[in-house]
Amino acid sequence: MAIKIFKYSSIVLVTAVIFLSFLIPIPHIPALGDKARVLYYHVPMSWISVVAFFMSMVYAVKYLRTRDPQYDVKQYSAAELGFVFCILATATGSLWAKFNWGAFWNWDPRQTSIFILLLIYGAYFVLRASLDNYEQKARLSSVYAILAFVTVPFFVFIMPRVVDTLHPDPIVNSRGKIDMDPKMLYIFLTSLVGFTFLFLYMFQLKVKTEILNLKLKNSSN
Amino acid sequence: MNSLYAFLETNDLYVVLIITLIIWIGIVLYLNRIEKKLNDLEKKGIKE
Repeated sequence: MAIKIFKYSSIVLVTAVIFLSFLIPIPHIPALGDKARVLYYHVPMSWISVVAFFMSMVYAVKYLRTRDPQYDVKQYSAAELGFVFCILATATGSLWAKFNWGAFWNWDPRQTSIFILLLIYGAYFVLRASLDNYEQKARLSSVYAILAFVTVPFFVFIMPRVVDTLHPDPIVNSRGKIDMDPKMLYIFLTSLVGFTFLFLYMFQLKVKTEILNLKLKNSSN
Repeated sequence: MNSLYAFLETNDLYVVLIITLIIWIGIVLYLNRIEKKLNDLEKKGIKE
């Protein structure tokens, strides 16, 4: 039932966002202009990667407490999707940087922090791939997923607010306020909810696939 | 058809909008296909 809700809600909301993001005029924003519309897509990608890494950490804790393989499946499914959305956030941000800052990559603190985050979670998949024993793989990667998530709030929320950066203010700025045109804010929030539902739908599909894969492996052994 | 083509020629934004929609429809259809295949596999698994 939940999978159907996520599926149809995401289809309706993301389709609406695609139309609105192109057709609703936005106020003039100095130095950004129409390029500011990237926030309807770029910020949700970044937000989903944080949600996914958080879910991965929660399922890792659950796995370590219960040793139930379904939590391990959920743990790495969330991490994998979080990694994909993190790459999408990097790519959309980099494309925007080319037209706003003049280069795809400038080693701005925001770009550096997301790059380190990608390395941290890249190491998570290397760790999983390097272990053959399932118990060991699940246990060690659960511990690693918990430790990896500890760094996420620092790189995503704290560092951009304490270091000088060319990156536009975060949505909730350092004064704790949202400085956004109300029309843009509604479209942005719709996008955030729509893409979150899309992620949850993809997560359910991924978990289904991995559970079937696990059953297949167990039956062939 | 010709009037639509003329309209799109002078309104670039709508061309990008149509391309984005085509990509989005493609992604939705692909995910839907994966879901159907998974449901079939699950049903087969239960029967066996």
